[in-house]
Amino acid sequence: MFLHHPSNIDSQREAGVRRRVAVLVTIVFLAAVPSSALEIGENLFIHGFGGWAFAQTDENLYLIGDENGVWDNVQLSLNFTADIAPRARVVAQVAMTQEDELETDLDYAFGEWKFSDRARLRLGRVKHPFGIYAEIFDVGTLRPFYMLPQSIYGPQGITAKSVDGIGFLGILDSPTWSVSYDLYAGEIQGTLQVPGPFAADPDDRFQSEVVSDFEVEDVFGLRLEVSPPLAGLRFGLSAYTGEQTVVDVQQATTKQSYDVVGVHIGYEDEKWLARAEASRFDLGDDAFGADGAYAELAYHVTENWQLAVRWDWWQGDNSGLDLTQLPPFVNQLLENEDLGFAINYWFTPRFVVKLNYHVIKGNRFAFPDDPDEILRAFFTQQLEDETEMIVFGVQFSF
Amino acid sequence: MTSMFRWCLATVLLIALSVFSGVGQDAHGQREPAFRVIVHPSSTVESLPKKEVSRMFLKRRTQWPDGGQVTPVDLPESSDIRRQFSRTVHGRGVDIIANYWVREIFSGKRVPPKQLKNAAQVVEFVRDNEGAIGYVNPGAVTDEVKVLEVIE
Repeated sequence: MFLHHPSNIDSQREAGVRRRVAVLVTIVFLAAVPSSALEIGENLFIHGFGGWAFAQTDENLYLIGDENGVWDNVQLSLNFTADIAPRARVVAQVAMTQEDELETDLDYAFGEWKFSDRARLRLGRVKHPFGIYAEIFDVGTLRPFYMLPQSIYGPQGITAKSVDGIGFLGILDSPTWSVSYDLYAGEIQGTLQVPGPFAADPDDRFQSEVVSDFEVEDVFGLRLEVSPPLAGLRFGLSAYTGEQTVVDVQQATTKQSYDVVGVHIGYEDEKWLARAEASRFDLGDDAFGADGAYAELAYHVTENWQLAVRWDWWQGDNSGLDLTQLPPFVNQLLENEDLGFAINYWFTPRFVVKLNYHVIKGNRFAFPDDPDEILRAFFTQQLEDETEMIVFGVQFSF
Repeated sequence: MTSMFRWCLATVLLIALSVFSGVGQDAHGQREPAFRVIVHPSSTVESLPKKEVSRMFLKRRTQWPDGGQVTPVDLPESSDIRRQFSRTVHGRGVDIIANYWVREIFSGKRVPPKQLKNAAQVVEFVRDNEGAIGYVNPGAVTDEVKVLEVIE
């Protein structure tokens, strides 16, 4: 245990004040964002989206919240589209996020050639077309909850923001039905967050969580989405296959197959929004596997007020794991069930304030913040497996 | 019994509403469209199904039957004419279409049509651009543009 020196306390207080001022400035900025795109000349369009949230849990650390409350969940993305010829355009999106440190990422950047409405070719860092939300990962004005459902879109290796490679997409229309398709190939890179006891490096196994990048090579994937004549209804299938380089305990590297498949369905009208997805992930023949699913329902009580509920479930298999190398509470680490409730106030369709409450069971994403508690769990044989979290935030797009 | 009475009353009210909602229709029971879809006067297209017009304004159909580029123009989201156009042609409200565009923009697929301030600007734009298509209130239509028949 370390004692804080008074000057350290002062500097921490100053940092805290600075952080709160930054948050307030951000909120003012968010409230003042333009309601439509910035258009430069005839052919360059700048759009953006972002948000800020305060999140607090009752005990465990859970994604954007902890026991003390996290104020600095701030994110802003800018999207640039340039029509450089009647059939050619360039699209790029830059994301800035802050969770302690300010980070900047290139979400995607690609060139596109349109052969016709039925066929377009993309090259570069293209969007990862998977399910309902992968292409619009952080766009909070397109969903009722501040956070995405973690079963499909959490940092667990199913979806990524982009694919480095090639994409081929288009729309096939009949007079009443419409089918959109996406084919892609290349390499996927994403974020993987694992509980400390699962960390590859033995030194990390008493950490609460370990965040790293994951990479899937030689990826081939597709998404098909069907829109039947009933306006607002759509359903589809997403799947990809690739290979991942895995390092075992003897530091030997092997390539293992990486297969993901998912289905989705959604309906939206002025009052109701209903969405559901399910997915299956397999690494190698039997190295690891997981199932995930969620269903969300939202209803606009008035034009501005919206109520929503979501059930979000993820379950990992332990059949391929060496249980002798893992702690006795391993099954808790392979489970996440999140029941969420939301009350949202939509000032406009592009500016919303959200109040969300989550009850989480399992420890796949909810860990003790203090490594000592993990150490203690090795003796008590269990972690605190229920976490409650409240999120208050604002999200916008323009 | 009281509950049944309420259901009956609600049914009567619904029927009454549907009857009185006929006010404003012409002698043939057809409601006068609140807008006209207009194209460049040189266009050879006389009529289009509603679904095709919708796809053009959603930029899911970007070519005319003769191969020319479709250039749709919109009125502001707050415009009554746009609200009626959206409801009639897309079958969805303006807010749902706004969500569609947010999705399309950030998935990198397409950006919304150019938005002009009023009907006069739409007429001017359509007059000056060969592949253009717009919609305005009937009173704003001039001889400089061609009215496209929208069929069910």
